[in-house]
Amino acid sequence: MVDGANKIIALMKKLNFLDVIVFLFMFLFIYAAVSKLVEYDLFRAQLGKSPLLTRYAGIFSWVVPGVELIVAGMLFIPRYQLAGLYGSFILMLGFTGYIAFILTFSPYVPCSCGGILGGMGWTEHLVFNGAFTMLAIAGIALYVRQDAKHQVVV
Amino acid sequence: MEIKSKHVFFLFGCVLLIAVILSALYAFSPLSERPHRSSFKRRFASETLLTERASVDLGFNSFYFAGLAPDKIYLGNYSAPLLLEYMNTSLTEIEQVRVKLPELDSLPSPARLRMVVDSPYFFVNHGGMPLILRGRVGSWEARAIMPDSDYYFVDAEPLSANSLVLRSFSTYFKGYQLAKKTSLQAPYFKFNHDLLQRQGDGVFSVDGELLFSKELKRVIYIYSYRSQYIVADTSLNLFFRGRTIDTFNTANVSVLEIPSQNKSVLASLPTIVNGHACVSFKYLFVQSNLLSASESEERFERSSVVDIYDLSQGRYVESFYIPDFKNLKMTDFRVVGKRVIIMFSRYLVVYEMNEALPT
Repeated sequence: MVDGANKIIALMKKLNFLDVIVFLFMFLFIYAAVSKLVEYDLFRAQLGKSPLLTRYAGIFSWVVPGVELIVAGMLFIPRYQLAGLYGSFILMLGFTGYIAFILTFSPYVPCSCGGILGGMGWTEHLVFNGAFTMLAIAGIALYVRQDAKHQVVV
Repeated sequence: MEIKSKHVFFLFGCVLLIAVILSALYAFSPLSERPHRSSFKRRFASETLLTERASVDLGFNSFYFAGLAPDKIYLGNYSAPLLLEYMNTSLTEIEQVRVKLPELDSLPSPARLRMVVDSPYFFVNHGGMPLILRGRVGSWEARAIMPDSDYYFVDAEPLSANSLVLRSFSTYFKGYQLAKKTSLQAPYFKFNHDLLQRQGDGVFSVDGELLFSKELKRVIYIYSYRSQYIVADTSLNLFFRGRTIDTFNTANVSVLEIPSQNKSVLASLPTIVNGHACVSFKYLFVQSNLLSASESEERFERSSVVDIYDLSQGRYVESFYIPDFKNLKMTDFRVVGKRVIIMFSRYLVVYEMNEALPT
């Protein structure tokens, strides 16, 4: 038992927290994009019912999953990882801002999330998105620190 | 240090970018638009000016009108489906009763249960089970009354002690239709597929509210998305199709079929022409969401406007305003004689007209 616990601690130490963040975002965005594209018609219809996006539902229904996939791809390629983290930050902040906006200004609340994300209530969603926005900031900070260290070594 | 501040600067740039995008979306969205002014005219008369008589805080916004009797208002509650609350029209004596359903041991999707009080009886309807129960006011115990009751429905409106008119979804026709159900003699069930006239899809284009005028013995159906109502007799034979004063002849809905889930959904924001409606004696009262040609936009934004139609002649009579109460819009309303009983979310307010409408 103690041995097992020690092994987990050792693994945690070895595990780079930045890698965990990058992996989480890649997973989140690919999952979110795929679940939107699989039921594209439904996703588009849901955007069409959002008072904020109704006029641009056609554009946004492609742009949102497209950008999610591009950001996930950038996170995968080391050279573009920082840009990918910034992309994640912008996306998460955008989603968070959008939800906050809808909850405050819209006379009714439409839903447009796919998969298990659609099962969340709006307030839960706001908390979830807020947490991921923070995670993106943490990712950028960690990346910058590691990058600085590498530069010193080189 | 310098690198750090560069990234902090970038992050703020991102925040600014998102703020600009959201503000732009808002500025160009229907939310920031002024209401569209239609070309039809309304007539506002002094006899329907409302004076507040009484108000009460119900504590919850989950109440709905279950029925009216002389000097009695019955309210059901979506969140407490078996609870019935009733009060006098001065709103001074409020009482609660728990309805007993001895034949029932479980209640799936309880929020779909509706109670309708039509003294001396009350009905407990649940279109998803399906369930039609009846009991006597006072004993508050309801039992099944229909000989064959395996027919699902969306709305039910009692016509008499032994019959109801139902709105149901037909999987064969893929749309809503009206039917009459009676417990007395066969056929216990009678459809009228032709009453609701679809414009494209069979759900949204014909969506609306089902009403019954006890005094006229007429079934009334008012479409939500277009300027029409239907008047039929209690056997569901068409009496006439009436027009509301606005100009939305065609339902402004775009509908998308989702074959994988076997359902259809709205694909854009629909224009709800007719909101809540009710009947009192020979008059049909319709809350309209449209701004007419000559009325004040400011007044319109601060109230709900109700148009009155004379069902015996199918003509428009006049309109009146229901002012917002504590900054809340009216959520439902009923008219009894001179009294207008209005729900504003969790508040119930009784108003009185200057004069009763001519009978």
